[in-house]
Amino acid sequence: MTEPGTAARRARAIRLHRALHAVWDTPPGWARLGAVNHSIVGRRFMLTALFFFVAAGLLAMLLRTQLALPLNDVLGPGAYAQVVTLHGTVMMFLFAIPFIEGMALYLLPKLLGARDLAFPRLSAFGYWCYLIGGSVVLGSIAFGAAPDGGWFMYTPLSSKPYSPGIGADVWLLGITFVEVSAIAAAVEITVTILKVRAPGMSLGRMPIMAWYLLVTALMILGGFPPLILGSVLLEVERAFGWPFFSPEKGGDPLLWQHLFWLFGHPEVYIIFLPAAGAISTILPVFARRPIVGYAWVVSAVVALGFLSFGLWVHHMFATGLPRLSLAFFSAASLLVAVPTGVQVFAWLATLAKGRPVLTLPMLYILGFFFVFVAGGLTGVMVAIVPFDEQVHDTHFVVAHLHYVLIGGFVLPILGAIYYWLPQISGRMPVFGLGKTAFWLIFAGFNITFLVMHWTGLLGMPRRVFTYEAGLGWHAPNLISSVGAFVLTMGFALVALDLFLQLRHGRSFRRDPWNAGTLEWAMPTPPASYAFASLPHVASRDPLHDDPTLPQCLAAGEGYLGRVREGRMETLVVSMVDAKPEQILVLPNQDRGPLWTALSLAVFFGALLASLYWLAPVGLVLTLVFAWRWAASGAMRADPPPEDAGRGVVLPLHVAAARPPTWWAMPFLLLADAILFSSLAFGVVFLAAFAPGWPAPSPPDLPGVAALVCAAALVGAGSAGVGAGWANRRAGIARGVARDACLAVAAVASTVALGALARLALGLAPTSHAHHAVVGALLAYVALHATVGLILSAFCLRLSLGGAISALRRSPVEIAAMWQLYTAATGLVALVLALLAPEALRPPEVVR
Amino acid sequence: MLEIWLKAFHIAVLSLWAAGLVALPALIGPRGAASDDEYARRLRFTRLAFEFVISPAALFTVASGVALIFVATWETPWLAGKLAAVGGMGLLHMLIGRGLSRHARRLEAGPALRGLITLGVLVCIAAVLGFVLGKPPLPDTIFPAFMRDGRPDGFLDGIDLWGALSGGVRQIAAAGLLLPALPRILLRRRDAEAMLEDELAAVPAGEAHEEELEAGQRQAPGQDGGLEILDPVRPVEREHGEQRHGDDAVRPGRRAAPRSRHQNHLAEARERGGAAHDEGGARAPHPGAGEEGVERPPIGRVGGGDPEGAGDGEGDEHRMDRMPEQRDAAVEIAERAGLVQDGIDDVRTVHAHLVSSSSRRLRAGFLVCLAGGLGGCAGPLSTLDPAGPVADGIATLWWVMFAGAVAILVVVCALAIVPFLQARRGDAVSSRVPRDAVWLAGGGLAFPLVTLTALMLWAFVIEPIDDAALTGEEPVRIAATGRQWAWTFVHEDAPGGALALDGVMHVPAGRPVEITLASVDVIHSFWVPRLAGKRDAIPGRVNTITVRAEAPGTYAGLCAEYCGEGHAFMRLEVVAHAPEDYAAALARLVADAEAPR
Repeated sequence: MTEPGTAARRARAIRLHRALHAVWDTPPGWARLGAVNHSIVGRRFMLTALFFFVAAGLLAMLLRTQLALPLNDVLGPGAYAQVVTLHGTVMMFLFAIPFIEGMALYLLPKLLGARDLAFPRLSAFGYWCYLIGGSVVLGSIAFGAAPDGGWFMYTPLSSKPYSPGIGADVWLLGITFVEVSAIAAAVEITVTILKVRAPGMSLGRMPIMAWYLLVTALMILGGFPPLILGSVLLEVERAFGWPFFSPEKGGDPLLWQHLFWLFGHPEVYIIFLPAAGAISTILPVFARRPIVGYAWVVSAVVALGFLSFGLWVHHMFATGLPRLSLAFFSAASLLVAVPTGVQVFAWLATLAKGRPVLTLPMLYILGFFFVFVAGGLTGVMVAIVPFDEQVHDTHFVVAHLHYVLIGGFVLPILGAIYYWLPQISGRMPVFGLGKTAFWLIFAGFNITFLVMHWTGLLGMPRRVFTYEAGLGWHAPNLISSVGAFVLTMGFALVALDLFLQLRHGRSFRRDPWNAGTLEWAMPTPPASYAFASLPHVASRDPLHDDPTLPQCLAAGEGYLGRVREGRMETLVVSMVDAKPEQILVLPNQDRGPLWTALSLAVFFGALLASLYWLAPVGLVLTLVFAWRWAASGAMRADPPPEDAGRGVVLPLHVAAARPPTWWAMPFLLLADAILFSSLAFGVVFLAAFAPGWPAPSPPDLPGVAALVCAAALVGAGSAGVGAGWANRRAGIARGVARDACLAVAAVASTVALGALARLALGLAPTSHAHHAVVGALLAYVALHATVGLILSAFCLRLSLGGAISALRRSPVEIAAMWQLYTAATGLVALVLALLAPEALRPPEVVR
Repeated sequence: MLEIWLKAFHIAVLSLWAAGLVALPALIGPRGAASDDEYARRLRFTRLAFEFVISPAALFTVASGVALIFVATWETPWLAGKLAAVGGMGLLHMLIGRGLSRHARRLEAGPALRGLITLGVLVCIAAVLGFVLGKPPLPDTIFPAFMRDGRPDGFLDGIDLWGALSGGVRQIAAAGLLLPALPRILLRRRDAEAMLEDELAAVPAGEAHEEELEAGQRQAPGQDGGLEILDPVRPVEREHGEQRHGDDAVRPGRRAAPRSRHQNHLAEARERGGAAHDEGGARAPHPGAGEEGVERPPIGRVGGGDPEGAGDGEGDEHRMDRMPEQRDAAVEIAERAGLVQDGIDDVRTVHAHLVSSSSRRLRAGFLVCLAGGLGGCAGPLSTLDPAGPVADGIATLWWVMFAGAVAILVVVCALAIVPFLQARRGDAVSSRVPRDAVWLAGGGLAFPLVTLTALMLWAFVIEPIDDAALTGEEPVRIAATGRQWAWTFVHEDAPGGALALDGVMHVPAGRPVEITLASVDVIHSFWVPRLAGKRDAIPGRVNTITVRAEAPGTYAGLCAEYCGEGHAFMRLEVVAHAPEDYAAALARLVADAEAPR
């Protein structure tokens, strides 16, 4: 049975494995602190998220125990407020989103046929931020200092006068720190999906999961900045008294609600989409046919991504907005059911046209159908304005959101865990403990939350720590509490099952589910390098096309089937049609991300402890480590193009026009632009609608300083672009011109900073929201000018060190992008700052 | 906070234990068609689950439960029921353990035995949950006499928590429950690794071990019984508050003055009716404890003078340490809630006050409530028992949407399940399955678009808007102001100028009432569920809502937006008078308001 050549092939595969392993492996022990490998970081994210899930679940059990009886006394009002706030916060920010990120980081390179992510160190950095921030947020309850204003932290309850303790600061700073990691992961995921795929895997041939994750990542870039901005503004109000949200001084509590729900609603879809992606991946495998309507589903997901940004107001139906805008947002909220419907029917059609088998992951998906569709239907109900005005802020909404989140996220994700765990561990389930667990979860969940709709309709508001008898709330609450214990038992059994499967599962040869995607085209558990050589992809299910693909790849018959100069390499392809473009050289084991995250933690910790003198120290440290990190990949000479296998010769990424780092910039700036738009929205909103405007004494902004600032910003932008242009061709004169332009940009940025400081002198930010928002605009511009200055200095340093040439030009171009962005937003910010607020005020609002 | 953590841990391990007991009988089912390798793995898997997860979970459950008993007090009837149920779980645990060791090579138990075990487990778990969550009002006589005996007052004041905890641990150890079991469990590790060989070997290995282990495990559930033995040991006893404490759903230790004897006296007093009341009152003169023959004294430290127990702060932190700063706020709440005259000066005392005043109703209603289940839409705050046109329209909207949602849900679930049934029967994919476009364009696009547009239009048509401007009626105007944590209503039509009332609003039935909503501190939300939807009261803004009560009566309302610690009791009342009586009622109220001055 041994074919000729098979033995040689096997020997080749083993040789290649050893060579790759030597380069890619992260040894255990202290080296793990510097681990950047996507499998390790992804697993860390997922495990940490599951820990937070357990913690938040137990908090929920305390709540359910307290509510089981009228006037129960397990938790008092203060403790209840902390526990309920943390339950929501931890589930949303520390479980759902990070778990998705972890899953994406772990799976993406394997799905896309790459060896690692575009920026392995960035995801490691994100993990440390998440771990530190998350631990502080959860740990706060051990000291009774947890946030207690509800997970959406409405002002003024969360403002200083009504929440004088440290709890609200823990929330604002901790969550912002965690969101740094979300933004990092989103940039990582976006660039990886768009640029770091297997050759031949055009956008239309991507596994459908990649589409879902791409849309999710872009939604994170669009959805998180408003919350980051809101958190920063609220923290500044709490710490320094700038009255963005205080109605006595021209602020408006509704601004917080707008910013929060601008984030909060997309957040729901950010959580749902990856789970739906898992369904779109798993369901066809067990229906034993490809998914029906791939293009329909992809379009629906993209549509969902856009629509989800247009319905945040449906969380604010009771705030007394004009009826017309309520009708608009009500319609938009109903419309969002359409792309969801397309997906559901695509799945149903796939089942109807396939020959489905009821495996455990499939069982969870069936559970999903019931629970999520029920949640969607109650979602339609609460999108109807009058009905929402009745059930808003009651347990009906609590039940609805748990149907959507547990149905739309937890159940599919449990299915996904059972589906992909063999890929992670190399072991299959032994015995159907999982089925018992499923039924406990399913029954427990429905007992708990189906009844809770009724509790809400009987008038029980959310977040009450207790209630008296005689309101009809006792029986349904008791049933819910009993159900919650059944649900907990189910989760406990899942934990037991997974633990035992990891230790004692049956090992298997490849692809136990007969799936067609690339993550199964490797030995399991996967090696650190994922693929010994990279495939050329010709369809959506490469493994179905060529069942021998794993062996070919292991034997090094794909791209990059060799180790050269001890480098870790993967391929960068063109965005749409996936033609190989560059060889991406990746870093291994770097503690830079850890140090950077720790420095940033010093900054956040100093703010939290009100040690404001220490905060700049943290920032400077962060800067130092970030600088070292950014400079670490520099090369002193132009590297020659290299053979990438299969007859393709490619440049290394440092010598390519647009390496992944270049691509990261537009997406980072996208998030930044949304942050800026949110700020501009806030300025306009306050000026137009807030009570107490105009300010008794408006800011005194000298026109000359504003003009100087604008000119300097434009100058810095032009100089940045000029440096990039000068650098396009080689030559001594060109080099001098480039360096001169960089120097000019640095000087112009400094001048702009000086002018901004002069403008800031005319402000009294604690006196009125007008001063405060102008201060925020100026601070935004100043921050960007400072970063521009640092980038110019960084490029100059690289340039003088010989690390920049016409080929190795991306640092200069990235800096130029930043300078241009700074100039554009700076001009808008200056106009907004100088604009008289009366110009924005609709006449009928002026009283 | 420690107590909360302990409870959370207890809940976690209890869930794990219970889940394991539910799952294990299934694992010791018939071998079926499993291959040797699979069966060996299953053996190993089951033993591991039992020895390394479920049994430790049981031990930790009992240990944390015991610890909780020491942290809190526990002389409460339902706890005895719970302990019995836990004992039952322990027995079944042992039974399963025996099954696992007896049949070293074969785990099989007959379907009858497995069914019996499963049933027993479910009954026990249901009983535990019922006792812990429901705290059913069992008669106190369920306790043996020695447990009802009082102890000298003040005997345990100042005992520190860690002392109590370590005392508890010592007791457990001395009872020979934990320590003998641990090394055996730890020692099993090596065997576990070699278990595959063991299982496949001709001679069952480790038989002796199994027996020992079993012995250890047999004792484990004995802890529950052991509690009774532990109790009289003086140094670990403590009075930690007046509460009925369980080792599960228990109450933080507020060390108010009450003693257990006092409590028991009170409990007896309750049973005997008012006769013993004087005695209870005399022993601990708590304001507010009087009239109703309270079965437990007020919670807050009314006199405020309880010394902080040495090293005991942690356990109470979430309430005690924050007392000073909360106190002012609490007094305010109580004042605003109009409860000061009852001598109640604390949010939590308000809570206790309500406990005592409602406890009889609670007890009487308990069984009725459980039996009645969810029956009925009625309730003082029920949205489905409308008493005004807006709430009425919304209730109709709900019932229609509910029916539609059920229909859609049934169809979708049927569509998801039928293919599995067909595939199981081995049917070929039917040619009658519609084409892709029908599913996607029909089901995905057209169906939701049509249904939702119809719903939206219909909702617009029947949308209940009660706007005086539309009907041309002259509304009654009332200005409502929310603050932490009470409402004030200014009746602008009152004779002799505006009349401000706290927490209650008087309106004429059948007429629109336009309420302007403002807030002086944080966001509140005005909601009278039987009349209309809710509207926020936002500081710096003025919102309006129109409500109309169809008939005279009293309608309860509340604050729906979380507004701080007093949120749960920020209630209001709308009193609707017959239109012809309204003016007279207002005049009477004005007179009442002026009378005391």
